[in-house]
Amino acid sequence: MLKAEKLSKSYGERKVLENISLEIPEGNFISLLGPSGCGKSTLLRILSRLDEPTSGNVQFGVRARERAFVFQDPTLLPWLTVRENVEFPFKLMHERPDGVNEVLAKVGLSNSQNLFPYQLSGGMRMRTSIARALVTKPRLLFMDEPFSALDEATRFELQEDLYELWSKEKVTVIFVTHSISEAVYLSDRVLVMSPKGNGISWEQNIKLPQLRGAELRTHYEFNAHVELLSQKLRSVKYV
Amino acid sequence: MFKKPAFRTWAPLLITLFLIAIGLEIASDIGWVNEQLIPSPSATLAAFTELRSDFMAAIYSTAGNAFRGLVLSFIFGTGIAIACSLSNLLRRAVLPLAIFFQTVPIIAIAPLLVIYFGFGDQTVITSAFIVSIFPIIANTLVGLDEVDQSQIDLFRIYGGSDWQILWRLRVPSSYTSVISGIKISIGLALIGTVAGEFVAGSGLGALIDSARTQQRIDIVFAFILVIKIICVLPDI
Repeated sequence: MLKAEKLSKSYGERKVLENISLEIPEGNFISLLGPSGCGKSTLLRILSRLDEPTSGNVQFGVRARERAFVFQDPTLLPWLTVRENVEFPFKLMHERPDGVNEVLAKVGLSNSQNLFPYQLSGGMRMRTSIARALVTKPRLLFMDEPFSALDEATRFELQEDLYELWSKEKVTVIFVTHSISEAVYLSDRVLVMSPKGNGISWEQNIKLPQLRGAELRTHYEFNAHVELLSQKLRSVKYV
Repeated sequence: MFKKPAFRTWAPLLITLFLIAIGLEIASDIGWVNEQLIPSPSATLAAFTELRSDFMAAIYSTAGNAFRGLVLSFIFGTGIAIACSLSNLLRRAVLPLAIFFQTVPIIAIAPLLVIYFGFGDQTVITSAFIVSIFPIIANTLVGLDEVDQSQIDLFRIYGGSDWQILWRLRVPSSYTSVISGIKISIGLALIGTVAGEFVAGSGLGALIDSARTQQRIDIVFAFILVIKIICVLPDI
């Protein structure tokens, strides 16, 4: 689905990423985990082709139109309503809006579609942003710490909804986060980036019992994954 | 978004002005202030009633020319700002010139304008235009620049063109700063207009100039009052 070879990125003298290769199979939910400043957002921008690598290349298995991006901020346009914001990608692509009602229903915003962003809570803004990303029916979805600014209850709620959406739609998701439990909860596979951007220091496949919500979060297997990833993160930090 | 009751907002100011007027009136009555230097409020009012028709015609002409100057500033100011936001080269080439224009006192330029445009409205409007264009350029440019990288990325992801980023993102984002630029420029356009009228001989500027030569302090004060009221009106 997505293949990246020997990606490097530097800004002048400063190297942000060095020689990163990865391959992401179709339908997977992959998390990129790493400390702040390790270049995970830069890597995501390059993988999504928002940014050019200094060297190396990225290959998609899909057309550019079939990708979408959810940013750290909801990045809604304040002068448009929820519905108009969700329809906006079609405007940019000169296409007729299609499937807007369905996607609004999916994220639970049908009753709020005529509100403006300033009238929404943080969680609802992020839902709008996710609806906007899903409305074009992407096959490849990039998410850059989308829940990091939300309170914990809202974050858990959105994680569960995202998991449910993903398991129905089977889009390929590449998810950047610095929260270990978020990565474990959502992903098939977690990639830990080393602090200086020189590669993926650890990969961990996540296999969990078929549970959701609090039951899963307190399950011993869930905690074992969190503990192992936490160890790996700590060990790379001091190398 | 919130509408305050007009009375509560304006009452303290009106009471202050009223008290100053009463105090000044009493002070001139008992001879504490020299009426040759500061006329009493009643004398100022009398001057206004005496020359009412002249004043009204002058206000009409001054406000009209200030408005025309402002409209020109808006058209050219936003145009220049949009062009500068599209091209860094243009920004470096044009913006310093605009700042240079801003620092030259209009009183120094006004006599030149008379030589170029003669004694008439053209001189006055040009003077208003020169003084009021800069805040519109500067504020519009700030507004156009004030978009987040992630908002631009959103456009890029869906293949949005530079043109779409300009009209669907930058221009709507700049709305509030354009409005605040216009508010600053209203006052400046009036200053430019009066400065132009001093040399071109029309409107309130000409009226105050002739009052000055006749030592009619009361008319000068009535004039200042009128100008202040015109300046404040758009803010209400």
